[in-house]
Amino acid sequence: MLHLKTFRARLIFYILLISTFLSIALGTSFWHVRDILLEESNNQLSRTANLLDTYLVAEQRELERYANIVRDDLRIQEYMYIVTEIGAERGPLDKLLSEQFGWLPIDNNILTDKSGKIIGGHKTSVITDITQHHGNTPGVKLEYVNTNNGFELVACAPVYYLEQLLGYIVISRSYDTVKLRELENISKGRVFITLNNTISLSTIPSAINKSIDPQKLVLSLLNDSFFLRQVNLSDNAGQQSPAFYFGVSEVYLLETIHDFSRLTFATVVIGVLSILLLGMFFLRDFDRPIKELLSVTDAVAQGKLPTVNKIVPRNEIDALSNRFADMVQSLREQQTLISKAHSKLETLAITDTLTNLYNRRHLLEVFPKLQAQAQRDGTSLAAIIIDIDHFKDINDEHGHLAGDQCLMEFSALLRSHSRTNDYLFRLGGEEFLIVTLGENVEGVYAAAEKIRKATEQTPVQYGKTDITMTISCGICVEHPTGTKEESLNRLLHHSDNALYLAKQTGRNKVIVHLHEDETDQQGTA
Amino acid sequence: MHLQHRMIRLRWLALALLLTVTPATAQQGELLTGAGAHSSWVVFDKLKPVLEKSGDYSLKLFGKQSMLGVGCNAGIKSVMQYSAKQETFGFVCCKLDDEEVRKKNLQVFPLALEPLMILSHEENPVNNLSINQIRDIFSGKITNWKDVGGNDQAIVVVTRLHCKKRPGHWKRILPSPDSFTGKRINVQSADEMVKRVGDFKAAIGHAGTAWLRGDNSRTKIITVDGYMPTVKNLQAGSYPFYRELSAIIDKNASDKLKNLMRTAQQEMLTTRAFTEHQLAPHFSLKK
Repeated sequence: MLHLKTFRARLIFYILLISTFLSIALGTSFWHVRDILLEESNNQLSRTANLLDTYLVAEQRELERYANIVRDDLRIQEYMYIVTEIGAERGPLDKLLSEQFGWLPIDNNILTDKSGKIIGGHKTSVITDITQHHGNTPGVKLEYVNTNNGFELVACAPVYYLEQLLGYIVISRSYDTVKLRELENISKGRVFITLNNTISLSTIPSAINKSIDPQKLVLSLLNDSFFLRQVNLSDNAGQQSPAFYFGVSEVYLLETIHDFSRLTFATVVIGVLSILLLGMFFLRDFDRPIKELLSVTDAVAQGKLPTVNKIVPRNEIDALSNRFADMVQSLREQQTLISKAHSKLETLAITDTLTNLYNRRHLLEVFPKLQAQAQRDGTSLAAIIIDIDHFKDINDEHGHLAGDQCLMEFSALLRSHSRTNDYLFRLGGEEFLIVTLGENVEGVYAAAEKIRKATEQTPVQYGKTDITMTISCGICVEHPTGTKEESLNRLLHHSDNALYLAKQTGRNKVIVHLHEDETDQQGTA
Repeated sequence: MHLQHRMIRLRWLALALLLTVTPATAQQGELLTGAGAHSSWVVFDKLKPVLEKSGDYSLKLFGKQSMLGVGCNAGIKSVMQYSAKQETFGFVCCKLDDEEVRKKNLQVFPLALEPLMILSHEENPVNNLSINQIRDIFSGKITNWKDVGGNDQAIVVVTRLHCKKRPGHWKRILPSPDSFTGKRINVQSADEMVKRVGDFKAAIGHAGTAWLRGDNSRTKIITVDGYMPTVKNLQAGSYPFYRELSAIIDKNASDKLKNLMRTAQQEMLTTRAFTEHQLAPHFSLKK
């Protein structure tokens, strides 16, 4: 069994299958029709031969009837009597024959006396001895007579007047090449007239004098050959009558078959090409959007959301493609919402909700980066721990809401006095941290001092009450060494020690942690 | 021969049809129908306006074409179809014998005498023949025109020997058909006679003067002993060949029909309108 996994493969297979079936069907049809054609040609040959027989016999009867019409005319009889028995001139007889029977569709008409001597008529070249062996029988005698131009079908009838034989009326119809062409036009074939099995009249000059074997019924010429059927002439005339043969050209037949084969072949080629072309167009229309959809789904699977343009739908695949575009667009919108939510969550995770400053968790995340940068740049890291002095007293005196407002306004103050490379954290309660990069101690100290003074000079308005706050700051500046945890702990520890010292020594001041070879630097309001 | 008989039968059939159809289109008792020999028809055709004016009737006459009338027999046939509702009469060109008149219950009204023309081809140089020469030619004793001063041509005798059992007519040339030469052709009408004689330069034939040969005819009249077939020569007894034209009716026919016949006879005596046809009143012949 074929394993056609894709529709494309199936489609190609179906197209090839249809093309094959078409070729086989037309091929079979050709061979079948060819046989029918040959058989029908054979039947047609016989039928046409019979029709020709009927036609020729009808011509005989027609000629016989014309002979009777002339013979029975009273004036013809009287005039023949006057000419033959009284011996008058033949002019009036000729004139009468012409005027009275000139319309008859015959080629020759002759009136003779009893001895066969012509006494009237026209085209007397066909005089034969037919009157001699006709005798005195009253009927019409028919006979084919050989002439220089072919044959004449002659009808001879005795003419009587007052029961006395006067002579004969002889009328004839020519069978020459012109007549043969007429017969050939009727029969759509060839007509040969033979005498003693030898062709004596034909429209094909090369056929003249060729012999025909009545048993074989095939006539072979230089350029052609003919299948023959003898026209039986069921009512033949004369003992030496010619034989009529009807022939169909073998070349014509073969050409007909070849024409048909060419037609069949052309039909097969055009049919198969058409099917393939249509299949190709269909595949293209089918395959391209499927591939695009697959690439889109692959991208979506990889987390990408490619742009899929919508198109005017012409078919189901276009509609499906548009649905995909809608789906991708929807995903993109959902992703945007998720990103925003995620960003918000992320912000919430690293931010203190009251003050909007970074929380301790973010310190743990950002510190390694700062440490790495400091190590990379060969600079120091500075930490300022800030604690609001007596914050518990504010809460106790003004309430927690007032304490919260103090924290918020202090945070705002921190933000307004910080620099761009300062990281601001709320470590918890009323304790804050500033971490900065690449500062010398003096710079850090100045910044802390600036904050301390601003805090002291900026009371917080809570209702109608101004709450004045002071802060204590502990500073540590050092080159980061060791692991990030060690470095952070050490920085915070040293800063915290400095803050402790500031608290111990009266608050509202800035103390810088000095390393073992230094003494803590103190600043106050 | 069978064809000749067939033609005659066809003519009878045509006449019978005409006579049968005519009364259906006529007014009752007012239409009188006559048919028969052409020459007698000529008399009635000429007198028709006068005759119709003389009585309360109209005349329907058949006989213009001798082919149609077939001569005297058609006239007798017409009389035989007489009835009170269909009053018919006939024309004959021969004198009927008494026995036939009695057997067929006829009443004969002689009308006129008609000279018989002796015709030949117009190119024939012979213009006159004696009565004996004519009889010898028709009997076959003379067979070549050179014997009577003409060209060396065999004489073609054309006859129309109708009414064979009745006296007069062609019997004034020769008394019986057997007296005529066997080498002749016998035609069925005056029209055919004129055509045959006109076709053959050596032909000779006969026809009544009432038959107008027409301008295209190639025939001419042979004088007999120097006399033309005219009324004058006939009445003077100089021209020997003639025939008697009559009208016939059923002996028991209506007085109206008999009066018509008498009026026709009377008009024939007083009218001089027949010079073209050379017809003489019946009683004008000098014995």
